[in-house]
Formats: sequence, structure tokens, C-alpha cells
Amino acid sequence: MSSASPAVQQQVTLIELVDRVLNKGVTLTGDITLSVAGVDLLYVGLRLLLASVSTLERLDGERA
Amino acid sequence: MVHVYALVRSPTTVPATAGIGNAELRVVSVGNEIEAVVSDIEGAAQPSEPAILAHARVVEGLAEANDSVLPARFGNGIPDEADLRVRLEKRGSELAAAFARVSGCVELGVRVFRVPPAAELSGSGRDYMQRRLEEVGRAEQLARELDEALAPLARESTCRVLASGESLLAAAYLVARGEVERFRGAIDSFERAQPGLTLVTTGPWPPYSFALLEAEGA
Repeated sequence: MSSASPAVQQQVTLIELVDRVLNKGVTLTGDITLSVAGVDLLYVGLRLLLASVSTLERLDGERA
Repeated sequence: MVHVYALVRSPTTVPATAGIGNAELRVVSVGNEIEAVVSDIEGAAQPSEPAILAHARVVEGLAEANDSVLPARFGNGIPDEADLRVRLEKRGSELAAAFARVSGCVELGVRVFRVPPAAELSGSGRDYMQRRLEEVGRAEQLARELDEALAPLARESTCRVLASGESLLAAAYLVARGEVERFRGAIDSFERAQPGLTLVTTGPWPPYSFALLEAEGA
């Protein structure tokens, strides 16, 4: 099993899904450039989440 | 306007799922024994989170019910069915090659993270560039090691080097349905052998990353 926490796993799955739907797949029209501020926000969210998970792990380690 | 979810080799088994905005799904024959799964939409679909999730759910349902599905990229909509046919009829051989490629396969995503992230880069521009180059170089080396471990178990693979903060790599693998468990085992072994790295596997996905046709470029 992956060592990632369920919260990280869930967030990565959402990013991977959005990335696939918007950036992969067969293109049918030329005009596929969609401006999606939300995708950037997802990445920012993941950074914060990873940072907080690593902080928690460190605190757990110090308590142990 | 018409929103396209995926292309399927005929005959298409349509899942009991609604499309974007709860619209009914429809099958449009586009020639070369290929069908497009579409729904009507007012104006161009906006890529809101509900619309993206609805698109993904339809593609997922199609991939579960049919052997080979080419997911369509979330687009700005096609004027009508006649326009869709014109666009696809001349691409028969490309589409046939893409269907053959993904037949019987699913896609697995692998993201590699370093937790905690590397220290923020500071110092002069020259120092920054030097350390940044080293960081990218290490991520590229890691990409080669990941490829050696996993690519032999996949039909095709792609890997992007991110080397940005905690995100090192974003890879995708086209894996035969029967090989998924073995593939996951190989990912776990790779992670155990790399202390300090976290691998997050996602999927199985419909083969989004391998549906792009050669002529379109990467």
C-alpha cells in the first residue's frame, strides 16, 4: 500500500481527474484552450495539504 | 451545441448515466464503424467542477461497458452532429490505430512526491540556477529508474518531470486489464526501495493519456 494518507490520495485523484478531462483525450475542435483558474487552485490546495501532512508526521515522530 | 464525451467502436453500450446538466446521452454514428457519445448542451460547456465530474462519470461508465473507448477532451462544443461527422470521417485510420492501441487496457496514474519538500531555493540567481538544474537532473534520473521498473509491465507509458516543490514526477501507464494487480505490486516495491519518496497511484482510468492521436502531437 502507498504510504500517502487518504486525504492526499483523494486530493491527488481529483487533480489527476481534472488534468485528464481538460488536458488529455482526443481533441475534436481546434479551440480547446480553456482557462481554468480552478486547476491552479487545486494544485495550491495539494501543496498546503502535503505541507500539513508532513508537519503532522513530524509532530507524531517527536511525540513517539 | 453538442458536447462529446468519448468515441466508441460500434456497437456502443451506453451506461445508465446522465450527461452534463442531467442531459440524456445519445449515440451518433461518425463513420468507420465508430460512434460518438454526446449530449445536447446550451452554448459551450463551461469546465466547472460539476461539468468536469459529469464528463468523467460518463467516460468511466462507457469504459466499463465497452472494450475500447477513446475519451474526448472536454471541449468548447461542436455546432451539430453533421459538423462532428465531417470532423471525424477523414480521421478514420488515425482513430483505428488509437482504438487498437487502447484495446483491453486501462490507464494508471503514478505521481511521485518528496515529503517533506526540498528547502526553498534562495541566494543569487546563479546559485539558484545551479541548484535548480541539479534538482531537475535528479528528477530525470528518478524518471528513468521508474520507467525501468514499470514500463516493461505496460503497453505504453508517459512521464512528465515536474521537479517543483514536493512534486517530482507525473507518469501514466497503459496497462492490460488483467495486469493491474501485478502492476500495483511493482509500484509498491519501487516505493519501498526509495525512502523519502511517496508514490500515489490513481485509477484505473479510461485511457485519457493514450487517446491522443499521433498527428496531433503531444
